[in-house]
Amino acid sequence: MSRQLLQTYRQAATEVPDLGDSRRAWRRGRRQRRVRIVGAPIAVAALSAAVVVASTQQPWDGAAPEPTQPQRTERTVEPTRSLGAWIPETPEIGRPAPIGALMYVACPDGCEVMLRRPNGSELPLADVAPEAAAAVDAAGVEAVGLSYDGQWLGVPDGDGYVLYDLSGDAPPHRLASHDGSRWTMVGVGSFNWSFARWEDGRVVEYATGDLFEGGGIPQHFDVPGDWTTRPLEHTGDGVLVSEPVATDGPPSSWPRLTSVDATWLTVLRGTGVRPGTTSSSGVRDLSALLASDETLAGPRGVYVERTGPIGSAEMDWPTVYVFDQDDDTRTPIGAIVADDREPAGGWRFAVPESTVGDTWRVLGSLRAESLAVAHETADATEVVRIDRDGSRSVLQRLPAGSQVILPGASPIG
Amino acid sequence: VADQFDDFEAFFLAHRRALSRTAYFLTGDDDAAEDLLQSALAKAAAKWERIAHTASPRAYVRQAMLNEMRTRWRRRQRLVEHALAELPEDRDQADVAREVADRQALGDALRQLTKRQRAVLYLRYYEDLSEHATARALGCSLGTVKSQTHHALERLRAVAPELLREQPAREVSE
Repeated sequence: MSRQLLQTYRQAATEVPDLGDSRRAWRRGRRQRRVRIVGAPIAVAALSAAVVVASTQQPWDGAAPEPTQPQRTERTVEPTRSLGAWIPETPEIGRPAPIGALMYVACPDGCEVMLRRPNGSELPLADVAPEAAAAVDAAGVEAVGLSYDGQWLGVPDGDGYVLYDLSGDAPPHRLASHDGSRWTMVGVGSFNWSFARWEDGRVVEYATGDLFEGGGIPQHFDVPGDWTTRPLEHTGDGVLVSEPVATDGPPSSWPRLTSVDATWLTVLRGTGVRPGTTSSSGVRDLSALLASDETLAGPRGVYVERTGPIGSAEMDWPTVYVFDQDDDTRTPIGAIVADDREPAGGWRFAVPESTVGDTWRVLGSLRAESLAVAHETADATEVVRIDRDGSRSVLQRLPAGSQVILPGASPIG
Repeated sequence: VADQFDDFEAFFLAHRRALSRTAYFLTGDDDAAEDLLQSALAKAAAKWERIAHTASPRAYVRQAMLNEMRTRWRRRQRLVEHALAELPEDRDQADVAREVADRQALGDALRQLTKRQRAVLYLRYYEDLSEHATARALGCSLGTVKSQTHHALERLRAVAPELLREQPAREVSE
């Protein structure tokens, strides 16, 4: 009997399909973990709130101005199926979404993805783009990217990536993957965004989508098989990679980025002669702005955003994220705006230090001289604007534990 | 975080086949197996730092699936058992013989069992565990394992006797 049944099982076993999705399981598991981790300190903080408040660890630095409150934070749902119901239509190339516009979800499971306007009113994403809302719900909001102007939403779909036009003018466009490979977002620019397709630990393809000319449909650039490139930064019109950015002429003349170690973002020369890459020049040594345990290299490369409107003076001031190296984990803790006019090569935003029950997390740059951070307490998630002079203002107040996506900010880390 | 995910994904790819089989034999259904495995993988992901360096992360995921099944049957969310009379009465023996080689036949039969019976049969006859080990894995008594095994086999004999007939051997890969 046992032999017969074992034989039956084994025969059937050969035909069982491969089940499971590691990426989705990882996201789901880490969300559950995050909720547990966040929940514990909140409980501790609630018990010792009086002590914490009275201690020297004030939630706001006494030297900094008190935050201003948002003009209106009450929820006013206006279900209108158009992009204009969220942010003004932006036909002008490079025009950013207004500061304060954002996407968020209040809890990991079961909460609607909401679009919040600068004035505090909001509407469900499902009212504007039901298909996109379902996709975000399945993928997890932390994995999505929102274009600089707020019109395009990028959502991972298995190993692929889908671009949704929130204006409804264009059908979704899917970046199809192949077996054993997956797409990741490299960055969002003022008029395009970039993706990298990974296979066996190396990038084999880049795609850059022009959000206006191509309607978000990317142009693809295969990476030659002997290149060992990694995406280093999204540059506004392409991706800067770590190995030759052009192979015209003798190898000695190839423009290449030579170093992306802990403190340097160095380009010896670059002439932007190849599709999918870009002109980039100069040597940026930002080590003076970094502590010994900090790095510019995140898990998927160097995160650089150019957030200024096209043609503006801010356009060429890239914002580079700073990561804290703690064991094997790299956490974004700050940002540096590279500015050759500064002796140190740029200047750094001072993000407040997190304490138990009172954490600060970098969300992305708003403009060259302002950074958005999430300030999480037991009561709320505040989206706070930090300006170069250190002043802070609350842009939005959201339910505690909310996850936030800013227009123009790609997933960090 | 990326390194941890890479580690997790490497584990998943290395054991996907085996874990898929476990999930399928515990449920007898592709969709239910997918849900069961995803749930167990998510639990592993949440504790990955802790279990990654244990002797067997795969054992953790397997046990998570067994625990989930145990939770479900304790909630008395049993599948509706189809009456024998609902099965075709004039099944052609040649068709039956062909079906035996198809996992669908086993899946159909497994779905005639309760969740606990499926788990007992899987552990006893596929993983070749002793009755004591099966009882430990399922957190139940030895008597329960014996009685559930008896009832499960009796049920299989009734609904799909062809599954218990000896078939030509076929190579099985891990």
